[in-house]
This record gives sequence, C-alpha cells and structure tokens, in this order.
Amino acid sequence: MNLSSSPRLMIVSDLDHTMVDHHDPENKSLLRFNALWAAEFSHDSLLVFSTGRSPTLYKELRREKPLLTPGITILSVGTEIMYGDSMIPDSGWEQELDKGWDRSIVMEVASEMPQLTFQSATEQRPHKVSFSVDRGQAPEIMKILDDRLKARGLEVKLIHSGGQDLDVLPIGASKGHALSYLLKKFEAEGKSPLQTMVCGDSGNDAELFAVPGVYGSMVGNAMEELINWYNENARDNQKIFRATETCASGIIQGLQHFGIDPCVSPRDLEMDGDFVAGDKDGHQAIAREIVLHQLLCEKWLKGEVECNDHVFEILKAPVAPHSTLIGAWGVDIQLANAIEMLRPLHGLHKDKRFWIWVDRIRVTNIGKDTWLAKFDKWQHYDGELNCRITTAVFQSPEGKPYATAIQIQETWKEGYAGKPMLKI
Amino acid sequence: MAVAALGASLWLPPQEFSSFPLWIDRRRGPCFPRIRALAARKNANAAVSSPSVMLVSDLDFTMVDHKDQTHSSLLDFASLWEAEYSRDCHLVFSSGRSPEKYLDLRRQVPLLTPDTIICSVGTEIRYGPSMTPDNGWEEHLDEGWNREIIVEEAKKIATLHFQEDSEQRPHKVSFKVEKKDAEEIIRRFSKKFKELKLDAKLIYSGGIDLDVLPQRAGKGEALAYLMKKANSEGWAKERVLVCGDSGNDVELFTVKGVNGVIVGNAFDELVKWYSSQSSKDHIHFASNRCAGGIIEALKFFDMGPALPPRERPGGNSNGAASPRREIVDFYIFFDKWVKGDIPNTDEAFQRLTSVIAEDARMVYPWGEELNLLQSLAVVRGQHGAFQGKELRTWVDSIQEQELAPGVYLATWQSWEQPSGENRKGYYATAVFKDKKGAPNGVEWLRVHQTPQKQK
Repeated sequence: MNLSSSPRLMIVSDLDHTMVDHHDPENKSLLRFNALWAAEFSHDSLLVFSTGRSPTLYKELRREKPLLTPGITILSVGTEIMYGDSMIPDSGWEQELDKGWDRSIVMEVASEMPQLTFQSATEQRPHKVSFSVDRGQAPEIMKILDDRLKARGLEVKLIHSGGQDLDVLPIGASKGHALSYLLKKFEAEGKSPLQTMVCGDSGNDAELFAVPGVYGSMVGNAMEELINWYNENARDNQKIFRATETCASGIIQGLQHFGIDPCVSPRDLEMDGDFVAGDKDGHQAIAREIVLHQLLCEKWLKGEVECNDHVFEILKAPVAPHSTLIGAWGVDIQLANAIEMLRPLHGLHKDKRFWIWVDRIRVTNIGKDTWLAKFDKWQHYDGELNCRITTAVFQSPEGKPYATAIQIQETWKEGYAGKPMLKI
Repeated sequence: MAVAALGASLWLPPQEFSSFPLWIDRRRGPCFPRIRALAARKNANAAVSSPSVMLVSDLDFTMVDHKDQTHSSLLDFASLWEAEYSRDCHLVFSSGRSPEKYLDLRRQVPLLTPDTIICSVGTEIRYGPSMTPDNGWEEHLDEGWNREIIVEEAKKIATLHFQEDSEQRPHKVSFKVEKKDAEEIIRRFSKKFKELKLDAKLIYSGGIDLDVLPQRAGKGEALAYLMKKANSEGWAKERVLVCGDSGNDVELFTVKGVNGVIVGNAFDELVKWYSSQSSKDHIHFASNRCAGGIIEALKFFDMGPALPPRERPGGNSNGAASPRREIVDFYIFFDKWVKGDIPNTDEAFQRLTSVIAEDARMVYPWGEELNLLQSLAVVRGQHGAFQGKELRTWVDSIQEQELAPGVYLATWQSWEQPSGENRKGYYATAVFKDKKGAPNGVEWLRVHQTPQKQK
C-alpha cells in the first residue's frame, strides 16, 4: 500500500455504467470526476475499482475510456485484488478463495454439460470459470450445474446477470466479500479509511452496499435489480443515497450529498478566477493548481474560454522566471515560451473530441516551500491517446498566493508516444 | 543513468539519430555566465573550494586526438571538467573550423558543450548551446576589411586552391597551399595588401591551410575581446589557460595574462615558435598528447583538481555535498560496472544502492516509471555485459541549484555510444538531498530522463 496513513476517503466503484458511461462518447461525467479526484482527493484518499471484468477486459476498457489509475483494483467479480500501479496481486486473498474451491472439479463437471460453452481463455481466471449460455435456459442450466457440483462436494457461487454470461466463483467470492476483506486488512494495519463510499448500478453491486458502515451512492441509471434490493433492504439507511444523475456524475452527487468536501469538480468552475493556493496545505494546493492549469489548456485549445490576455495571463501565472521545460519531444525550452506557443492556438480543437486529464498525481514536500510533483498527463484527440510522465518542481515563495513551477520534465509513457502532427 | 538508458538500447531496437540535435536553449545565451555565478552563490557549500578558470582550447589535435578512436583522454577531460570545473569556470573552444565543420566534429567525437565557441580562426564568437553570435565582434571585424578584393587576387594565383564553401566565411577566406609554395604566396599577398591598404593578415597552419583574415581577427584577438567582455560584465575568471598544437594557436599564447600549454603532439611550426621565445615561463610544453596534455597543464599550473574522476578512488574525500560530482561518479560507476572493471560483489554495488533514497523513483527514457532501487537490480545483472566492447558514455552541461537548505535540483545531458552505433542523447533532471557520510554528501531522490530529439 502506498498510503502512509489512513485514507480520508475510500471510494469503491463499479466501472461499467457506474464510473463509465458507455452512452457518452465525450465522457463528460467521468472527466468531471477525474478532475475532482486528482485535484482534491489524490493526495490523501484511495480510489478502488471493483468490476466483473477480467484483467484483459479491464485493460481494454482503459484503452477506450479515460480512467484514472486506482490504488486498488478488484477484478473478476471480486476474485482478484491488486495493489498499486503495477497491480500486485493479494496472495492472502487468493488463499482465502482457495478454501473449499476446486477448479478442476468445475472443469470436469462443465465438460459433461454441452449447454455450457467456455468463454475465451482471457476470461478464465484462477478463481473464475466463465461460460456462455442460452439466455432463456440460464436458470435451468444453473440449477443443474449447481446440483452436479454439490454432488461432487463443491459449493460454488453462480452469477448470471441476465445476459449470456455465467460465472462460477468460489462460494466466498463477491465484490462485497472482497471489500470486507480489505476493510479488515486496513483495520489490522491501523489504516482504516475515515469514510468509505461505494458506488454501483447493478445486481452484483448490492453486496457492496450491504457492507456494514459504508456510505453508498447508487447512480441515477441504476438497474432494476439494484433498485429492488434498495427498496427491500436499504430504504431507511441514511448512509445510502439514490443519485439522480447518471454514472460518475452520480458519484459526485453522492459526495455532495454526504458533505464530503471539496466536492465541486474543477471542470464545473468558472475559469476566470485567479489561481489561489487557498488555506489548505501545500500538497492539495499544488495538485489543484496542476489540474486547473491542464484544464485551462484544454479549454483554451477548444475555444471554451475567452481569447483574451486576462485568461492567458492565468495560463502563464504558475511559471517561475527562468524556469525550463524539457518536453517529451526531446527539446529543452524556457517554460514561459512553451506556454506562449499556446497563444495562437486558441480554438484549435474546437468541437473536436479532445480532452486532457491528469492521473497518478503525487506531491511531496522536499524542503522549505519546495515541492516535487509527479503526474501523468493524458491527452485524447479523436481516438488517439498520448501520455506524458511528468516531473515538476514547484516553489511557493513568501508573498505569492500560489506556487510556481521552476522545472518541468516530460517523457512519453511507454506505448503512448504522441504522433508528430499533434505537437502540443 | 547511462546504463539505464543502455538498458534501453539492449532491450529495444536502436534508433537512428540522423544528425546532431541543435537545442533551442535560451537560458544559455551571452548572459549565461552570470546565471551560473548566481547558482554558485546559492550553493551553501562555499567550503568546497572552486577553481576559477577560463580554459581556451583548440580542437583538432589539441582537445581532440584523431589518432585515438577510443577518445579516452577526451572523456577523462570531460568528466574532470564537469565534476570539478563546470560550476564556476568557463570553457571556450577556439577552432579554425567553420561552424558547419565544428558541428560535424561534434557528431563524431565526445565533446562537451562549451560556454563559448570561437570558430573560423577567431572570426566568429558564439555563445551557448544555441551558438548565439556576438554581433559586436562582427562589426569590429568589418572595418578595413574587403573580402571581394582578396578573392579576386587569389584567383590569379595557380598554386592557391580554395577550400570548400563551408569554410568560406564572412571574415575568412581559406585556401590550401603546399608547404613548398607557402612562403612565396604569403609574400605576394602581403605585398598586395600593403598596396591596397587592406587590413588583412595571413595564417598558415597544419602545413596546408592558409587563412586570410581581418587584421583585427585571430584566435588571440578574439580571446582578448572575450576577456575584456568578461571583465566588464563581471564574470572574469582568476586564471586563463590556453591550449594549442599548431600555427594558428600562436596568438593565444601571446595574450596578456594567460598561461598556456602546448600539447605533446604539437606541430613543428608551434614548437619552433616556442623555442624561439625568450619569455616562456607562462607556457608548459606537455609530454602528454592532446587532452592528456591539457589535464597535465591544469596540474602544472595548479589551477584545480587534475585527477580524472575515473582514477579517483571511490568518491570525494571530504564528502561535502556535491550533486555535480555525484552525477559524474554515477555514470563512471555504470561504465566500469558494465565493462567489468569493478568486482561483481554486493559491496562494490553498494556504491550505488547506498546513495539512493528508499522511495526514490526514476522515469526511464523509454517511458516507464520505476522504483529506482528495485530497477537497479537489472543493472546488477549487467556486470561485464560490455567487457572488451567499446562503449562511450559521458555527461555534459551539468547545472545545479540549491532549492532549499540541503535540497538540490540538477539538470544535465548524458550521451552514450556503443561501438558501431549512433550516439544517443538524454536530458536528465534529478533531485538530491544532503546525506551525511555519502561519498559526495548527497543521496538521490528522483531522476527523470527524456531522450533528446532526433533531427
């Protein structure tokens, strides 16, 4: 775990139709959430994704949608818990799941049932066996499978979310159990999150909401099964909120509802204010400054802010004199000049599918009034993605309300180098 | 780190670097020496006594030994200069080469980026990596100069052959003349200049090159101009060392107040001149060739440290905080490690691991960010990978500043060139913190590398 103390907030969110809105090609609500998280929560809170997707399908989703990098990833319907950027598996959880689980028995029984078609190899995981079935016959098939497995002495959990997919998991596996396991682990380490908020939209998220003590935000587009569960079990639970807005906007609504501040996304702010460090501590102020600055660049390029000197001065504000930028393209220029290059580019990407977001932002105080920040700067342009791993040194000298960057260096993230035509 | 970047060349297909990258580094214009001086004042370690030297060196067969393809003494000079002199000193290359030929040379051999380049036999003065010209010098040379007349006259002489176009510059007309014809031609030209009241002079060097320049031009005159400028702008150094090997370097040795070194492999014409001089206490005739002779002179004249970092036993003795030395030592360590020049033991490798903060991370030039200590395990396994193979690595343009007490920011460029391949350059930035007992008084907190743009 990379947190040195208790997270102020832990969000545990489902992905499809919760964090991710598959009906919005502009990803507006997801980008709003990303900006809010990066600016206000990244330094002291923990983001957890909990999805039914296998690692392969999860990576696929990451290529399609602007997802942040979570601190913990729970995949394959709660059967795989992974930590950090490098996604290190939790072997303790694997051992838990091994109890009373015998994958080979499942394989043997399934091979005798022609109604079950194995899904592709990427969907077969150590604690998950996945099939495709005829939708209409699913309940019947599940009963047969369950009986036969029981006859072999194996109790399993069968998950069928209404479509063709049928998952067979260890009896102890679920999103809810995985979360409980995590919470117990945090408690043992003395690092329980001060608040935990879960977010979901469908049946298999119900278990998340059922974990004792958590806050919950049901997104506005929640499915019937979840709503039914809510009506039957959680109506009087003050800690569970039924959002009206869809997907990630519903998550933000939940934060607002529960008063988990700050809960206004930078994307919802007017861009005519000055950068103000505020009276919060330096980490947060600098993270916010970085997010706001990238956002302003995006809006400038899309022509969504006024094309005038006043706005451009805001873009130039966090630049210290003589500061340098070593750009991902491999050139070394004055930072002030790099920003100046944006001036004639106002509206360059007007009405285009273009957005910028910041991920994995970490700010460290390395000395008096001196900060080391690192983050990934992602850009999407019309289906093309690029990412710069960025290191920035900031100083917040006396008398200035905001910190200024004295040195920035970028390197293209492996596999995500920019294409020459998009020289920004 | 060089080898971290080396890791790139070992695991990824080598990239084509078609030509030398010209940086658009505006922070290093003519005002650069002043910015460096500021950085020096900011450095809390005033206790680390710092040399104050302007080193002015010819290139071909002085700084650069074309007979040594490994360029070992040049690399020794580079690491010594970067570690011990680059903070407060001023490096000047003074060459007969035109800017184009100078850039050619840069592509071929491991040269540092000088603070000033005096090229085209002292007719052009340029500053910084962006090679900003000194317009004042050009105006100064315009007086009494007439290029057309010289070209006209030259065309009449059969034994005079024009050098190629790149060598013809605004204040330089250049020819090739056989030794046997040289004296006659020089006499003929001198007569013509007197007739036409032309303020020009002739320089014959290397036994073949004849340059015609304005009287006011020349390596010596350009140096005198530079020194005067340094004085008036407040960045003059306490000592000046000039280094040369041939005829057109004579003028350097006659500038007032300088010390000079004639490298061991100097041409006859310079050696003859030296012998004929009555006052030559300020000049050292080195026994070593080229850059080895320059290092020899630094020691002879007691201008500063003269032991190349490669030869220093494990780190700086007084352990005062010096990110600059640490950077140079780090690359040398890698170089020795992959060549198997250091024993493959945990103790030896500790030189690296003991100066890296536990949570330090590095952004590698191929686009991965990893925990530095953990990723060094790969380097551990590369011991001797380049044994007996040629590999050149060097660092250039180290700049450091103290951000807060005991916290330092350094930037530099590194280069690596495995034998037979094109060189690769990298920009690097690192953050250091004081660490008591560390060889150079600091530990690494974070490093970020970016490959330089191919042009």
